[in-house]
Amino acid sequence: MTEPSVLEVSRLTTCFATPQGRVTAVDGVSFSVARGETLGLVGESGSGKSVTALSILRLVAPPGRIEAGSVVLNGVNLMDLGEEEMRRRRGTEVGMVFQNPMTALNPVFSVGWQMREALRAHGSTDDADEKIVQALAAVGMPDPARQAASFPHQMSGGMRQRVVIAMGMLHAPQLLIADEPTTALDVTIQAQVLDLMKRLTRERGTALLLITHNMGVIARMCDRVAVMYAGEIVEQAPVDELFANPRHPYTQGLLRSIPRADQVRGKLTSLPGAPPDMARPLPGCRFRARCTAVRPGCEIHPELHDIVPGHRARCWVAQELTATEAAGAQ
Amino acid sequence: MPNEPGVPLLQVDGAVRHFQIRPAAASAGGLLRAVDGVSLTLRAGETLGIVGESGCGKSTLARLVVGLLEPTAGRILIRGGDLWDSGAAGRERRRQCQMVFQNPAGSMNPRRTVGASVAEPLQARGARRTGEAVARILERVGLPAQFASRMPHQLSGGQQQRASIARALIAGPALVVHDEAIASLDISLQAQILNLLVELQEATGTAYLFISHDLAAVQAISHRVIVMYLGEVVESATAADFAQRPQHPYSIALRSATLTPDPAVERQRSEVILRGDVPSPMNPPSGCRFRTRCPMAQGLCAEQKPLLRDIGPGHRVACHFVAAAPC
Repeated sequence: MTEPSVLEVSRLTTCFATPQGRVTAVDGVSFSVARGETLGLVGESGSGKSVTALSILRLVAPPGRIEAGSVVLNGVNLMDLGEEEMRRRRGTEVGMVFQNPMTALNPVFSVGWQMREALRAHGSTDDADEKIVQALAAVGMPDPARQAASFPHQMSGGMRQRVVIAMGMLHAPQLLIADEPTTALDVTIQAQVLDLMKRLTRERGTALLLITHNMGVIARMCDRVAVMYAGEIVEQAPVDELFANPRHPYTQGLLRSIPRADQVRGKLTSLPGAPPDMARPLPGCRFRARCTAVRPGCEIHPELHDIVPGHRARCWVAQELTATEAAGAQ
Repeated sequence: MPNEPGVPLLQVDGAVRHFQIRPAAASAGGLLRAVDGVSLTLRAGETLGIVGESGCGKSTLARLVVGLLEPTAGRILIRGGDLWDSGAAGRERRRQCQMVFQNPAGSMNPRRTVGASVAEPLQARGARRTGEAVARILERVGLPAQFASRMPHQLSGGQQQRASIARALIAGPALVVHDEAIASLDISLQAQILNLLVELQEATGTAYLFISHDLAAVQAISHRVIVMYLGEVVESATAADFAQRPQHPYSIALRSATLTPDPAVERQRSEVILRGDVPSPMNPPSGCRFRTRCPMAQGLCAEQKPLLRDIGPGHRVACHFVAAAPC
């Protein structure tokens, strides 16, 4: 990728103090997103994908704490900034879209009022009305001038999520973080909203960090994918490579277990077991209790390892396979 | 099992369920038409999938079938007998229908042990000693028998859903309705539960009504599929037929909006992205209810309601413009 990185996250670690002990929700996570690129962060509940997003925005609330790592946005390490400087960057340099548009919007103010507040918070008050109408028109809102006067409850779920996207893009941020942006929506509306996000980020060259549990959304939207399991990235690859040639047994199992609309009744290959208890992660490879390829040596914690350029996996077995293939090729 | 040939296990015959909404919202007489004339049949040991978006009436239909709601009009028949007959016959029919809900945590009493909740359908039939039956059914759904003494919050989401399935099956019902039963589970657990349901069906012969917004999951488990839109059935087909050639414009749109975990497929997918949102079930469009979003809609669609008609063996579609299969 020749485009420069907009976001560079390295060795990000975020912990929560809980009655059950310290939970490391995000454990040494590193990735980058380039201008105009969409990186998908995929994982199941508790894998740490949402805490990663909150950590980038420095919105982790106690008992959570960012313990280590750096988040470099346009060359500036956000971890070094004061709270006021950080606040100014939220919304202007990084836009956010969360899962539930009803909780992201204030029910007692019109959407236009809320968008004007978002403009005012960053000191831009000139021709606010015009900017708001333009932003609403850009997300495909019919009759945007009239809709600006509407309240969130007067809109459907899809329209509300369009408003949230319009607000997230209001200051033309270089990076948009979208956490499960379509999970609360019906499938036909999901398709509309995804295509809208794709079009807007492509047109404006916005880097998009898309967090989802849905492999279909990943396949539709992303250029590259990072798969999270138990707080770590276990595999990272360009989207075609990941789906055609998954190397981590977790990714392989996940892809095999998803039913497809172009297939009919038949036994699915399911992953055994359940996602791990994050208060007591397994030492060594965290997936080994559910892994079908487990073997002696997996008690040692594997690092992310290059399989081919751009494709990395955190698995001893995948590393060995790569080594054997390389030896065979010579 | 007393199941005379020819009489289906479940027959929903023109079921209608309207809700009176408080007068403040009375734009169209204040009547919400959640289910508006649905007919279907389900045979013993069969799985019928019902798919549709929010507001299409699928959950109301689920509640009608298990007797949690009474129909405004139409009938629900179990082995030919009305679910709402008074006395022992009606009661027995309602007991034959059990349900598994979307949210497993919310459907178990948090103050009772898992075993106590699972035993309840047996106790409702007057059974006293249930310990052994509970242990047996828990093992059947893949939970250790000692989980009977645990509280629901001590179980993970997937385990809670297994316990809900155990509760639905313990009294040997003829029919279990699954209303979004896997929607709240992680993807790696969804396949486990779908496989478990198929295994249990093969072992017990229980019929399933599997209700979901997820077309792929519905196709993975169902023998036949029904698509609902605004309280009505728009298409009904075998799962194999439906996977190969959905015919109603709404089914096609639903299918085209269902993402496939395969970037190659996603790139070459033909776009049928519907405009707009589902209209309000308080004030549905005249004629064909889908016409306001349909890419094929013409004048006729506003004037005349299309009826469900056969277009091939076991395949019915409610659309003026879908031709019968040439064969």
